[in-house]
Amino acid sequence: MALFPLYGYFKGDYIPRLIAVDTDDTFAQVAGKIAEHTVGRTLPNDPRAKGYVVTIDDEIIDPAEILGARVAAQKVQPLHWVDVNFAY
Amino acid sequence: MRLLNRDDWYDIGRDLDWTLTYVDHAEAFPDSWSGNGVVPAAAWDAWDEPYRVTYHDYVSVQREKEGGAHAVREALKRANIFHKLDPAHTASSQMHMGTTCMVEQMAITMQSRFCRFAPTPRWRNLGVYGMLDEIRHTQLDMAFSHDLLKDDQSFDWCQKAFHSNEWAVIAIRNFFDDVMLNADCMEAAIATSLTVEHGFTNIQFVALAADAMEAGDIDFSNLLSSIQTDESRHAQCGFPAVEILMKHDPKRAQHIFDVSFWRSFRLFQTLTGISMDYYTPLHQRKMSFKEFMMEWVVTQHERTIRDVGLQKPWYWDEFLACLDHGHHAMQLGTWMYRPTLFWNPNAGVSRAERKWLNSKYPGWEDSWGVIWDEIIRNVNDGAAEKTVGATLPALCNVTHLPIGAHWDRHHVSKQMSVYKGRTYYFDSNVSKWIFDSNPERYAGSTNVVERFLAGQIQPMDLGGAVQWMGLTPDVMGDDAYKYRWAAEYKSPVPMAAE
Ligand SMILES: [Fe+2]
Ligand SMILES: [Fe+2]
Repeated sequence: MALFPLYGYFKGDYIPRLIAVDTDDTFAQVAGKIAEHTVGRTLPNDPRAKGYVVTIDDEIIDPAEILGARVAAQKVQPLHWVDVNFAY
Repeated sequence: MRLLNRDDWYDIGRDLDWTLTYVDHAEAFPDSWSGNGVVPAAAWDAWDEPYRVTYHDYVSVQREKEGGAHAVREALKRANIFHKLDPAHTASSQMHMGTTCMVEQMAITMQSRFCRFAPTPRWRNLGVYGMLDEIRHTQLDMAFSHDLLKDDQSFDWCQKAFHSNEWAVIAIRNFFDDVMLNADCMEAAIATSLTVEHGFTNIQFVALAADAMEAGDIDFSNLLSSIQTDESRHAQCGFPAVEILMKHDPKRAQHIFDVSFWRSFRLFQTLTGISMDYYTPLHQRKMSFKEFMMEWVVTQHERTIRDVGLQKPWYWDEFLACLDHGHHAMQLGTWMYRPTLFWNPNAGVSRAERKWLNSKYPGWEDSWGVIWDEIIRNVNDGAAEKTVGATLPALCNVTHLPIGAHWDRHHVSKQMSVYKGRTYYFDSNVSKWIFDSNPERYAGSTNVVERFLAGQIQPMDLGGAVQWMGLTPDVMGDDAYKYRWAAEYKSPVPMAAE
């Protein structure tokens, strides 16, 4: 369990932001922490959406995957750019 | 004793130089300061000043100008007009003072470098007047702001800003550290005199002065006009320098121009763009920022480019596309992060203002209106806290401005480079190109996010960041009209009334 900084960008928003997540977080939780700064703040919620989809370096990430595993595999560095969008 | 006529001695005076015997020429004029590079010594005979001035002329003209500027200032001090001004406009003058005064101070150092290290005595001679100009500009800003301290503590930031870690100030300081304090004479001449001063600020001061006059701020308008007369003169020193470099090292000249044009533009989006399209009260707006840029700045630069034989920067089309957008991003960003400002920003999106924005920027609603709608909903739901950024924006490692903020939400893209094991992010492909073309120059600096992660900001939250930036409750930004503009959105307006 450790704090981990990412650059999170929610598709359609105007800026990416520094997002503090935890290495124990699933990517579903990571997505939620990124979306929190956009949905209901700078973009309206989309009632048709079924959660969020996370993309890192063009790869769609399994929402159940744990961030820490990807960090240990050196596939995610501090301040890595993480894209989030509504899932349909 | 009768004085000689200027033209009887000027040509001898301007060529006054020494043949050095005790030191090497290269030691007295190191390349790192002169920037002479590959230019042969004889080439400097072609350096011709764009205007002629003697110390006697200079002092008598400046004395008149100072007398005029301070007479207006004294008269207005008694008239106490400050409280009659629109608060949105007031923010423009506070922003200007905090972000410009110390740049004038930095320009003193740059002009002093021309006095001492410029490769020809003719240019060194003119550097003296440039230096005196910049001393005057700094002092005028300080005097103006000092007069208004009794009315508003934000004017304290005229002096304080550059001694703080306020994020916009970091961005501005970084640029001018680079092109004024760190630059050799040749680079400073092209990046600062030609690109920033001649191409941007000189014209911006005219526009700002006109807006200020329209807003009834005679004091600010008067100060800007007085400064502008000096700027338009000393900015011309960039021309002979670029002409010589174009003959001997055109690639270098082009590179300096391309880099400084983009970086100046990004700062102009941030300061002038916001000021013109959001802070100037609607009924006083004459031109949109884009119209102003197209008519004055673009035309001016196109003429310069043509006259001196430069090419348009390779990103010219992207620059033109960004004219429709980047300042709207910076407006949204500065307003959402208002506790990090030392002025009270106007949201500038009442229904009437929005109509104006859409008429000037046809894509505005789709790019920006969508976001403002969500903000307005939160304001009207009593959830204003949701309209303040709760975490830091990702920042560019070259411009120090928010990533994505040069264009709009449809053009946010990941731009990064890895250099010596460290990852750098950029606000645009242009800033990435700037970094990649000279990484050593930019790699050493850290942006606010990186300083935050390094533990320099404590406590590690937005409150800690605001404190670290030096913002105190008496000047910390809040909506200029206390959100009153949002109330009209509570009731939907029938189409006919729109
Ligand atoms: Fe100046
Ligand atoms: Fe200047």
